[in-house]
Amino acid sequence: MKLQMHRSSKKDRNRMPSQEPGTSAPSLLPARLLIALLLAWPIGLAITAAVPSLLPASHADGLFVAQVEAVLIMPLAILFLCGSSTLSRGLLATLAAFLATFPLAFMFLAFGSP
Amino acid sequence: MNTARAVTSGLSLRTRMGWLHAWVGFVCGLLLLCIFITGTLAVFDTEITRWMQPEFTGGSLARPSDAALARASALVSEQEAQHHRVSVTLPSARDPVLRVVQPEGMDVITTAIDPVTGEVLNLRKTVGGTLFFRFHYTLRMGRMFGVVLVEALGIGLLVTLGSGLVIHLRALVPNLVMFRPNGASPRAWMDAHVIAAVLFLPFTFMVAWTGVVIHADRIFPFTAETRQEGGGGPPGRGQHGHHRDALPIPALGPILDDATQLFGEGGTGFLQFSPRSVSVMRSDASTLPQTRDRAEYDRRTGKRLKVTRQRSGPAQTRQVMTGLHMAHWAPTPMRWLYFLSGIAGSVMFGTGLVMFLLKRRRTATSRHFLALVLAEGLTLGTVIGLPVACAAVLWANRLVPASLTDRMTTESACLFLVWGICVVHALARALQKHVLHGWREQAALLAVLLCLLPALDIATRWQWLGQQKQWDYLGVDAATLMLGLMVLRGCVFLGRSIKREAVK
Amino acid sequence: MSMFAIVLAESSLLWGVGLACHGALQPAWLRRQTVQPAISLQQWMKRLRVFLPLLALILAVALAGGEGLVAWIASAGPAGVLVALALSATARKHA
Repeated sequence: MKLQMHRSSKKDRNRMPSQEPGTSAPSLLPARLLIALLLAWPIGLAITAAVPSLLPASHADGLFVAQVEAVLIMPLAILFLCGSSTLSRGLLATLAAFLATFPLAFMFLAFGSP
Repeated sequence: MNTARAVTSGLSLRTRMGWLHAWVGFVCGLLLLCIFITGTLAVFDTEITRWMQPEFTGGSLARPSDAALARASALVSEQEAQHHRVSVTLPSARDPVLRVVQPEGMDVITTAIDPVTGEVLNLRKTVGGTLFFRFHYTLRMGRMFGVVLVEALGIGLLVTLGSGLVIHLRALVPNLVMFRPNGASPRAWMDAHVIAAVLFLPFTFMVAWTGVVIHADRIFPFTAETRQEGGGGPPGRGQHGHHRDALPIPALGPILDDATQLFGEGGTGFLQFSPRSVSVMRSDASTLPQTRDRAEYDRRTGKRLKVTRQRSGPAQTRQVMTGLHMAHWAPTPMRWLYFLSGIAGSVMFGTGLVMFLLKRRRTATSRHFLALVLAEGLTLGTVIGLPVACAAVLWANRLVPASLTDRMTTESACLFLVWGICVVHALARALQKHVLHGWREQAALLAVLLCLLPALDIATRWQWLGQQKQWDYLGVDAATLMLGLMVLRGCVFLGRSIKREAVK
Repeated sequence: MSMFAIVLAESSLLWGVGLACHGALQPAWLRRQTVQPAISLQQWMKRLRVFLPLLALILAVALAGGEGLVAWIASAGPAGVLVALALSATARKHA
């Protein structure tokens, strides 16, 4: 399916989102939001479970790094899942964000704990 | 399925984000506004407590005398015998007395001791600024459920901020300082909303993120277990236990002197007691990172057992994040900036809620009437009702007799009672389709309560006026007067709107 | 006056002037003015809206370190609100 994005004109810049066409019929968005809400917490939980075991720091420090990441990824996941044109793309973007938390842990592995 | 996919993919990113922003913003916004308002007040919690104890006249920043420490020890032992958790805060620039602090349900009972003479100060029992502070992160729903709910709302705030950024991305820089109060109806609200959101975005993002991270243990439960196993959690947690077998408290003077040598002059914050040891914690006000460094002393001999300092990278990051959120380090001008930023955050939520309703009011059908009434009533009851209730607590503090036994319960009950009345009034006005009148009535009440508060302060404090430092009282009075005048201006604006509607 | 208060004052002032330059350069505001600033002045304002907040940042960090950085970020909001109110008042006057 082709991505159908409305290109906003310059006049559109100051327009309120509520004045945009299509706002009145976002029929699948509540379902998307529900899926996002159901997925957000497990994603955070997975990060806090996986990241600390990768870090060469104490468990408390590793958990803190994981929590900081999880708290950022959880809202991002909701935004990706609700903002993407199709659900599969949203899931893919969320997976990418989830995996992106690990390079930080790898960086930590490379440089060692301070 | 394909048709269904087409329905969502046909919408632009801005539209999808607009929907998310509106609904998550509205549902979470009602409670987030409460969290922001009480958090804003909690920036000055100590000063509000001082204002709520008008009998206070003395205080000293000097090291507490041995007599004062002995009195504190006696009070601590007394409380420990009754199996109460108890700690002692040391005099600081913001609160120059020795306080024995005992958590009691959702409130905190404190006994103030003159740090020079060691006399227990005869101050009225009050919930003080602690009421707003605890409400801010628990919503008075307990330390488990309440904190988890606030955490979830914090995530909601981050979602709302993210979606808001996407919606306004194009106009973000050009409209940075654009305010058109005379524009058409939603324009002025929109400008106010965008200014409050964008200019204070770093602050709002910071408080949301750090706020959720501070209590992240609550939403990742097994994390809390492993933390306790590893012993890397915030110091002081889980150490209290039962005090049935507590050893007698040693002389606190030498302990305090030793801790002062470790942490520097003015670097000691408070004392914690466990059955086998006494810990002196570093003051949160001494540096931006809230380190919670502690020196532990043997309760039998008074000798230092160990000093705990967490200096790893993640630990320091955690300390900075906690310090940034709590603002205990902040000097007075910075506190005022936090206060103003908190007000801006509240304005952002308030204008956002109003815009949500403005749009729905136009398109609502009779099928949605009850839902709209509920939304209108809850919005009014939150945006104006909660500030009215907070102001009522300050009024109750001065009007309820100082000797009343259940003062603290009365004060906190006053908050919820007045708030409840405001919500009922708002719902009734919304049901009558006169919600604008409801806004004006509650705003007028708020303006009166705030503008007359300085007069009430002087009228009920005059007998101690000459012996007190005036800054704290002046700060609270000036802030309430300014806010009262702003609300009064809003009242006039609302009056004009009602007249315009009547002409139509 | 403490160093922190000085940092707050200079940050607020420089943010204020920088944001005022930014606001006064916006077409929506310029349209409502009877007298337009000269092109050379507009060029200067364009430079100042970038340079002044940066100068404020450098001064804040140099004078108060990490706390100065917090003060710099926090002072932008109130300064911006004051500028927005001032610009809206002048726009109304000239309208």
